[in-house]
Amino acid sequence: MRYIARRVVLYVPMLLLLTLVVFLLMRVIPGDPALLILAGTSGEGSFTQADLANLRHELGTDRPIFVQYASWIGGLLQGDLGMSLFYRTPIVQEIGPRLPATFELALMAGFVSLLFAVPLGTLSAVRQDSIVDYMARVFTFAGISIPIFVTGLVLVYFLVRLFNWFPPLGYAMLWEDPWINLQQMFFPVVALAFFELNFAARVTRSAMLEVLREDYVRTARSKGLQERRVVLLHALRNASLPIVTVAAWSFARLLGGSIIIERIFLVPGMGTLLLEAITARDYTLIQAIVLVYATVVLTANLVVDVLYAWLDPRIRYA
Amino acid sequence: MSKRAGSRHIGNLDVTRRHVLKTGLTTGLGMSAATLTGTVAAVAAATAPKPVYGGQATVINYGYPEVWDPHLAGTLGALGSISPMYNQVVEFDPLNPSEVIGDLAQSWEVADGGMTYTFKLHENVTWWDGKPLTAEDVVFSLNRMLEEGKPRPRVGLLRPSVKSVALVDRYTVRMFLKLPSPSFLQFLAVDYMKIVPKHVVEAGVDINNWQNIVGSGPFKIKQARRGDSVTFEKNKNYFKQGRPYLDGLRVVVITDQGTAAGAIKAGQIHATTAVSGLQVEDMLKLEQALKGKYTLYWQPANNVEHFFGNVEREPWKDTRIISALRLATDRREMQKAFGSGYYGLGTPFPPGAWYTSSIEDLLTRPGFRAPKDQDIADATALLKEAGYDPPATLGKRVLTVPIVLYWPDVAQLWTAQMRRNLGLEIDIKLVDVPTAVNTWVSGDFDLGSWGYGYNITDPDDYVNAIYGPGSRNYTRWKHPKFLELLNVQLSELNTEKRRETLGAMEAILLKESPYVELFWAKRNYIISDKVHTAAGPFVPAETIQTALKWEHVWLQS
Repeated sequence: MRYIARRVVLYVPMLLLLTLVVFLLMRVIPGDPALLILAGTSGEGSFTQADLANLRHELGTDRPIFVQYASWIGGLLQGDLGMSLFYRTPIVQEIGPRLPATFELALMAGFVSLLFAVPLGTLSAVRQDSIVDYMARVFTFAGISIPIFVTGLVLVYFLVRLFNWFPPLGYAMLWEDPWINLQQMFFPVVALAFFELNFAARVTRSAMLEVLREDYVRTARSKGLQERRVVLLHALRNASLPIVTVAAWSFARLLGGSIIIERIFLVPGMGTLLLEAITARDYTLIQAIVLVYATVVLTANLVVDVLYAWLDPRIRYA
Repeated sequence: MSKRAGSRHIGNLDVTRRHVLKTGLTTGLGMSAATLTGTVAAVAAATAPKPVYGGQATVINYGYPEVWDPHLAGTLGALGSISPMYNQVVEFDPLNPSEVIGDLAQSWEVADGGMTYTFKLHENVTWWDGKPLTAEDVVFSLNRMLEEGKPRPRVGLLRPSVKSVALVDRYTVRMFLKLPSPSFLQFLAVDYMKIVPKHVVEAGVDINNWQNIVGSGPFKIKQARRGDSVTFEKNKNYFKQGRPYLDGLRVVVITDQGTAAGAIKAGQIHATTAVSGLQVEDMLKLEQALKGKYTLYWQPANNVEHFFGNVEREPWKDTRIISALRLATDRREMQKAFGSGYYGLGTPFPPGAWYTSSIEDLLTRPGFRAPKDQDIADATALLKEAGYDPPATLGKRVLTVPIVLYWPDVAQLWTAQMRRNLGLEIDIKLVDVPTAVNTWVSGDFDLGSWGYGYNITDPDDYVNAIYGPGSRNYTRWKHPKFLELLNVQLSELNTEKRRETLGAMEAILLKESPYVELFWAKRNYIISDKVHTAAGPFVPAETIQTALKWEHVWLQS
């Protein structure tokens, strides 16, 4: 319990530090939300300097930075994420409808990647230095080297070029139309899972190789246990510690990767919202989105720590 | 007084006795001809196969609406999704885009030498909530558009010409103008000039939230998802019989060009707006790849791109300097380099417009000649006259350039031309679009680069905005003679006299324009060949801000 409590206590200052960094970063990059509102992202709008000054005052962006930060943190402590500067709507209303799509994408991709990565890594380790292992290693190396957006664009290209097919337009939530949703999610999930599974497969292979050399595995084999039983029950179970870590981390990485994949495959999730917010210099919205992402990542880390302690008692007592 | 049926246009109104007599005669002849033509058409219609209307059309637009209130909207990103939900008093005929026809107005009369317009409205129009759309809504909406001190990015275009609006009876509205404006009716026909429900707005309902919208237009909004799409269903109680032809409409926002091209290739898109995010080169490739399935349609050149200096600052106070740069600019090279040969030459007035000189004529004038030797010599002489001998003594200049579209490339080419032709050093300062616009508005720049896409083809829009006191004249150029002529033509209803005045204005610009006009960009649409209209295939609008209701198209199965 003390171990978990220590982790939770660290969680809050980390979040606070992160909010400060994001807040300051957003103020450093060029741009002005008031300008974007008046000029429009395409620059079609017309305005005067007085209009600009009035709008900056109305948005509160003319106040000193520390006042703006304090006001934002004050709102956060009361559970208020604030208003979007660009869209002038409560941020909860902007983020709420976007979360399900992103989480669905990340969870599905995480699940699919593990579904393929663990058998692939295990097979590669069990058949070390065989043709299967070499092929798996080349595949995973290549997979890690290809950026997610390249996989996404290549997928779009081949879908259209070879099959003359493109996912249905007009996003449908899973509960609105599961069939359409699955068609829309299939390829973004493939693109994301492809990247992640290579990493997870390599970790699985390394962990398995280490465990397979352990004395207890040799003992299990010498006792005449079936190879399948030795690998799955004795080796894989003990190699699961780094795999669990990777799985939790991969969720965080998948959230990051989903930003560009959502844009390519037209998934209206948090990633596309973040890109829109950055384009619009919507400081409050960007801060809120980053805060959500950070909370998810830190929570994933916390879960890993807890799982670690649960899987390996030595960590608890260290 | 001249009376117009809702389906005809007053392009450049000549309200004279001759005009009235001519109109009467034409009407008489026209009626006889119409009877004959009508008979022929009726026979043809009886024998021709009846088109099967319907279909769910998907249209790509470059952006999701930043606002939903039409009177607060200023971009095609917003208008592309707002327009199908509302009506205007008049509109540009989507099948004959240079004509203004009635939308809510079934007819109108022009009186007092073009100073008064009386619109008779259709009586069978209802809002989506079942309440009737009456003259009260129209008067309320027009007054809302004219409201001083409120942000009215586009509908404010009516302010210079409209004095007041009055309710005559339940279905009649009268508009009093400040001057007999030849462009008033065209401005009123722009898609932004929407009539909103008085009872809803006055009840304090925020029509800037899509869920609160009560429109009268051909399509009702079903769902809107930011970053994705806006879905509409057919308004079954629409007042125009048989319309809209489509069963549904979806406007999708695709910002990634590769994804947009992929969706079009896969046949999921039926049309694009004129600003889809796809570049000319992408469009041409798509047209080539999809021959027989899609067709590329072009609007006339309606978007000028130019460089300019702030004439309130040194050295640009002396307009001979910008004139010298214009002379030394190789506009033919510019035209060849961008738009794959589809863009127009950088002329002061839109190429091909009724009020500009012909291209053949312009090509013989200073600044347009080929080879450039004489122009360069003239430019050098002009700079010498202004005290810059050699031209490099003008010093290092800074050109602020927005990072969007082709601008950085255009700037590269132009600065290379200036180096090559005059030995001038010009640094390029790249900034994001809003920062660039703010720079122009504040006047804090040396050389700037931007353009303007007009709403209507009448010079009252473009010429006033760019060279007159309009909001886009970032040069601060105030040429007394030019402004005097601008005012003269503003209320000149006789097209010939107006053309003469505009000709004199063009002559001033050819010599003393505060801009270096680079080229005229053309916007385009890629449209599925399944899209049909009563005129046959799709008909492109003349500007990006018109004919966006999609009530006139259907998908041929």
